[in-house]
Amino acid sequence: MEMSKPKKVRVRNHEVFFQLTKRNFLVFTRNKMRMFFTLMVPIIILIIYILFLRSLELSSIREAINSIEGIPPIDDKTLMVFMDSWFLSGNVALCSISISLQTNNLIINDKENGINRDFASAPIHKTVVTFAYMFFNFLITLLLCFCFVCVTFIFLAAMNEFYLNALDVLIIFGVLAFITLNASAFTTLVCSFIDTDATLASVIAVVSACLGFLIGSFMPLSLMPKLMQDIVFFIPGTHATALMRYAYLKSPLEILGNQFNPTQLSILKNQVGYNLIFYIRDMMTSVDLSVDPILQGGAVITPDIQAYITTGFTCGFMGLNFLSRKNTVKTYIK
Amino acid sequence: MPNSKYSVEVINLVKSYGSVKAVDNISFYVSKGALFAFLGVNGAGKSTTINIISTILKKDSGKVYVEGFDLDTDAQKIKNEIGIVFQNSVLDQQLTVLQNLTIRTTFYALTREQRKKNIQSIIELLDLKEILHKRIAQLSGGQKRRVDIARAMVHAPRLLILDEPTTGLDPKTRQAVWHLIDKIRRETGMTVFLTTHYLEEAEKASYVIVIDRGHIIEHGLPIDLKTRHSRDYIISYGKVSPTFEKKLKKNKVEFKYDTDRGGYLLYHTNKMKVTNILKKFEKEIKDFEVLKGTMDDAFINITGRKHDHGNE
Ligand SMILES: Nc1ncnc2c1ncn2[C@@H]1O[C@H](COP(=O)(O)OP(=O)(O)OP(=O)(O)O)[C@@H](O)[C@H]1O
Ligand SMILES: [Mg+2]
Repeated sequence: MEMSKPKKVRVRNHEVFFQLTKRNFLVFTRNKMRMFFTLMVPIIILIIYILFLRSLELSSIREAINSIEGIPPIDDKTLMVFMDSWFLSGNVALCSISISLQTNNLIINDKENGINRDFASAPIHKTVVTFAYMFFNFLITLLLCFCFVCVTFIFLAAMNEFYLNALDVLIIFGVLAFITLNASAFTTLVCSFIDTDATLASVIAVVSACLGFLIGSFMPLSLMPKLMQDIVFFIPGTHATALMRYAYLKSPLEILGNQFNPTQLSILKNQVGYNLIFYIRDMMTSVDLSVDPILQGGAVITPDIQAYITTGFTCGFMGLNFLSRKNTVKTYIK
Repeated sequence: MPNSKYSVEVINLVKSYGSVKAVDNISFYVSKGALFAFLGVNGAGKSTTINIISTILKKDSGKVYVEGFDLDTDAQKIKNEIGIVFQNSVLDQQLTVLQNLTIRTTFYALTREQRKKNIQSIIELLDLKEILHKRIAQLSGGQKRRVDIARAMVHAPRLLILDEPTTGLDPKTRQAVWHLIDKIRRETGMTVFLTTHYLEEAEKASYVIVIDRGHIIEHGLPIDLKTRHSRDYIISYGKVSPTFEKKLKKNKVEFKYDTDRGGYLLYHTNKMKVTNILKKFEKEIKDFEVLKGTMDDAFINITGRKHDHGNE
């Protein structure tokens, strides 16, 4: 029988990377139900928002903005544009992390089924395997989040609240790719330390319960105590949420912002804006939403700085993934 | 220094999991081109040894050479020379046979044409044409095992390691897997290193090592093991009879009552040939069978004796 033996030991890394990414993709997407239910989570959150939270949050913002004496009130319709864009963008950002985490159950399955023994026994690098997992995760998460972003567009259009132009849409997808890469690098690192499906399920449960509040997806961070705002500043998802908010809110603010009196605008931005505040002074006092945060001891972190910080996080996670590659491809014999 | 006659050399290998000594200072050699069998009960340490040789498990101490390469310094080169069929399948259940094989070929430094050719050869050798586009999850146990073996061979390794290739298969499929292993050896000249629980399978090997609780307790050609540890014997069916036993003892015939089979097992010795026994006890032995010693007896003798020692 005629068969060829490998001449050298070194394989072409890019080819292994490509094939492994493809393999991960095929294995994952074969299970259509899993894909469907992964996408259902943000959609259910959206439905809950429409049914219960929307009116609640509107009344709270209406009260804050329209209760100033001597200033004409803003109509609900306009407030709703900001409210909805604010919530949807936060949900998209949260989605990029939660979907990414769920997608990584492939890594855990490979560990549990012992499939990665196959990778470990072949002359390929663990780094390549690790980064193929990460890239696969990026692709799937991006794909599913893309679908969800389209759902948000449809919702905005249906509510007659679509103020985004072509550039905004482009920026939204750009930001989505940017924060998804960050999420993938983060969740792949997390999953390198998880060995069983049961553990991952608990992590997912904990994350889905807390993360939405911690990174400001469901509730304005400005409602948190100053110290807490500083703590969540170090969660990468906080910046991802703020960046996505910027992409969704930039045009509505430009177009509709002139209806607001400066005081109202500042309250609006404090509640449903996209800047983050890092408090340096007066940590123990609570935030007054009608006062400029700078006057309350805060430093304003604008989207460009958020982007730098996110880039830093992404690079850091990638480096840590490299260091943790042995854990990602850990083999244990049953 | 490694010896070029050997495909695998293991010297004083030790591996513990906590307080469990899975492999306790074993040494052995596998000649090139041999069909080498590692025989042992559950938990004997077979998979542990194999996983160390396959470079995926760290040893505690000892030396291992595979195809002349030192495991400590040339693990990457060893990976190129070995193909492993793990005890549990490592195929992607959701993908087709062809997809599984194609992905695995890229793990080795082969050109595109070589990969195609290798896959083609394997499809022919292992007769995979009909199931090529089926998903692994849809295959029968025997078909899966065939693909497992194919997967391990995509890079034409010089050493094929199979961890319990026939466990969990029905007797007919086990036969088929053995035919396959024979065919692979015939057509590729690969060295085959396999582990098994089944004695009759070890009989087909060119060399056998019996391992128990991390120790090598016996080794040799299958035929030698058989002659050393199993003897021809007679079963004399009937109830327990003290007078018969007394007479047997007087004539120095080795015996034992087997309650399962309901009769005395009378062992053949140099002094007492089977025919002599039959003649001498014509009156007592009414219903009997003469049985050839099997590898199973050898195994029970080897491991059983060892166990007794442990209990003393
Ligand atoms: N990952 C592990 N952690 C702890 N102990 C282990 C581990 N793997 C194996 N062992 C122990 O090491 C010993 C040898 O196990 P091994 O898997 O090598 O046996 P085996 O001969 O392959 O058995 P089997 O026929 O059941 O496959 C057993 O006592 C087992 O319990
Ligand atoms: Mg085993």
